[in-house]
Amino acid sequence: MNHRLDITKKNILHYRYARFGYKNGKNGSFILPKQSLYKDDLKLNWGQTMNARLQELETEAILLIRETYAAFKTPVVLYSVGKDSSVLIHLVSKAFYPMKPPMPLLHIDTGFKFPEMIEFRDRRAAELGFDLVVRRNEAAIAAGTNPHDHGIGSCCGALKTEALLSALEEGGYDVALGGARRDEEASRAKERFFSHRDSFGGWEPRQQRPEPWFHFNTLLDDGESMRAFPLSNWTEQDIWDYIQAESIELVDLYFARPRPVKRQGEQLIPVINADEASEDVSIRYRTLGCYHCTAAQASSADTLEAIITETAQAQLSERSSRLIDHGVSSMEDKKREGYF
Amino acid sequence: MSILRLAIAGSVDDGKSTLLGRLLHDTGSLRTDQVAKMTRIGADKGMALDLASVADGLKAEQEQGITIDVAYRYLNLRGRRLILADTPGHEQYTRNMFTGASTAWGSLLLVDAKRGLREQTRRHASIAALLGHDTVVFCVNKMDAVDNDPARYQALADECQALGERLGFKHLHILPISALTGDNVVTRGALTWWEGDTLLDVLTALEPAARAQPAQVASVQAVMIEQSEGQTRRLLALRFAGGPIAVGDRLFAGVHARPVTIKAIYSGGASVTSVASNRDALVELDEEIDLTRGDWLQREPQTWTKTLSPVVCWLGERPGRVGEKVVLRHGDRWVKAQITDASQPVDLAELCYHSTQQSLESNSIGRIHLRLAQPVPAASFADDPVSGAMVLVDPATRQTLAAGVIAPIPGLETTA
Ligand SMILES: Nc1nc2c(ncn2[C@@H]2O[C@H](COP(=O)(O)OP(=O)(O)O)[C@@H](O)[C@H]2O)c(=O)[nH]1
Repeated sequence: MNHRLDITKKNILHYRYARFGYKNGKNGSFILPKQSLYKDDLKLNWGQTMNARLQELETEAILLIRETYAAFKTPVVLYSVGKDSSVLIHLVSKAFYPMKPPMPLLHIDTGFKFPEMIEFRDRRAAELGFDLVVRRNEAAIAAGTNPHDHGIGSCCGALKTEALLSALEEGGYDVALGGARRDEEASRAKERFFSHRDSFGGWEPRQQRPEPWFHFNTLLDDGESMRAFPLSNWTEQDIWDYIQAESIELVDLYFARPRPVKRQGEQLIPVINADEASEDVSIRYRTLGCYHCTAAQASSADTLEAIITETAQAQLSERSSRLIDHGVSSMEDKKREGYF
Repeated sequence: MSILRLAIAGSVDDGKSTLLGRLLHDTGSLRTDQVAKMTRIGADKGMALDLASVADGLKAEQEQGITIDVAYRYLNLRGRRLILADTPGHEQYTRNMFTGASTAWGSLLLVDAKRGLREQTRRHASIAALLGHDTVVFCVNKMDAVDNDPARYQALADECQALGERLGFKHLHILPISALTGDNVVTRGALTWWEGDTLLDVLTALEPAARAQPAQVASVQAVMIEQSEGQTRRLLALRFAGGPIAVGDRLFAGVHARPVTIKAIYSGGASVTSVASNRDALVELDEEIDLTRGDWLQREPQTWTKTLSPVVCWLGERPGRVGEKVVLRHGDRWVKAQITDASQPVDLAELCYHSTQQSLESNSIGRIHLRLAQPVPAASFADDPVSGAMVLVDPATRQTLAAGVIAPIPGLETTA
């Protein structure tokens, strides 16, 4: 089973040509290379039942998304297929409605993503009218890099960070939007909406640019880039409430279903390979990453309402289910190296 | 209900992190793994809970035991969302305090009951005034360390009152607390003589000032152009502050005040007939005119100027010098500018302007004078936060140098 949509370097160049080819040099705005407005072509459905809190967060996110379009040459949206990026791409669609989203999605495929995620990714990107760029660190994948033999840190470094940095460099993307939230983790809580990266993709947390109001300093030197986080001020609760209010479609892994797993200490680890020993347990995922490193939780929450109730009552913070985030400051270290 | 956006500030060691931990803990906003971490770190230090450990995130901060950068925290207070910017107290990191306070509309200012008000307290209060915060809550903290003495509290409360009135805050709250023991944070605790509200009561009752009057200017944040079958369609993403822009509104575009009419509006991914500044706005005009990012639409033609005298907080690591050239982000436009004439720094002890000087030191507040390469419409920040604010950037290093507003700060308009 191979749902991958590998975009070769040639295709990326073609895509960039399309962008720059339509760039109106005079005012820097970008003419969409399509013939008509998109609202009838796209599968957009959004509700009108948002409360004031969600409206305020949505408005802030849309302002940030438009800033990435207006102030940078080549924006790209990091799409991890998880719930936060599902909200992000929904907001990008809204920010440009009734036009087609003028920035592509970039997905870093580690080769360890759940097959359901790959299928969902390709379908949603097409339905919302996004161009999709998929990048993998083929050399590391061919070398058999995995968390068991190489350790979680170096596996992530090779399959995620290296793949991401080279994809950003090859694509010439000067700003990359991500769905990270400040309430996820301590070093994320410190990050700006527009987070500056040096020409190696690294983050220097002690030297962050001041960010007064929404008057962003978006100026970059050659080779430098920016990460933008429109969902900075959203909490896990906001994400779920918004998904419900807007009827945003999610990959089915978030909903409890009987699935094959094995037990590893307290944690339930999914079994992807049919030959491996496993037991069927009703589980769901609170966050989605690579299947080796994403613990499932036993749950019977098979509807959005049930998930919202379960999240509100959860006793552990969200990232405790991601093996990679364990250990003090591991996220900060990865971010310094260029991780999202 | 709208979101409460507040900044928590004060001098180093006045108890900001402890208060934050206390609020998170006592409002049940922490997950069990986070409480376990507080308990574990507390045990190493010989206390029940290390409340402050919730605040510091960066390695350098943990090593040095100080807060370097602002951290944002999310609490639900009786069903109301609070975004709290936990800002650093060191003067050296004023730029990060300013960042955190700039997206808030009110601040929680801590005062150590033992040490009293400090220069940093006045600096942070002045920055809150500069940023147009209409609400300030002074928390006289560490009351347990002064035996919950009401007389000591009253003396400090009088100083806070005088400072707050001088700086012209519309809503001023002053109350005694002990972040460490939790007194008067969520429940009254040992502060039995206090008859006013607890901090939680005060916080849940706060409201941002509403901006009902129609926006006078709107900045064009982005221009989206689409061509189909020889026809061009332009949509303008607008930023403005205040009451609605509606289909049919007649506005004036750019410095030449060319009249235009709003033909269509999209907001929240739908076609709408009017939109206020608390929602996003994408508009189409009745005519195809060549507007670009950074242009302005005006309800009435504005006065445009090539000189500005903003009050700024100097955020750069090096001082600002008379004569130097900068680039200014005003609204959504970058404008070349030069600092002309001497600046007037604010004396934070006396809360008045010093006599003029040739430079403005890092982390200080002062009035500067700018000559611009292009005219801009400039309202006072209080009337219009979009056109009344600006950011100065060093064109060579691209570092942010200063943030400024077009405003008198009421209490500062005297010269020493
Ligand atoms: N006695 C007493 N000490 C406090 C109180 N609040 C904070 N402290 C102590 O003051 C010191 C500085 O507090 P911290 O929260 O780190 O201050 P910050 O620098 O403003 O974040 C720590 O030793 C705290 O335990 C209080 O209400 N009473």
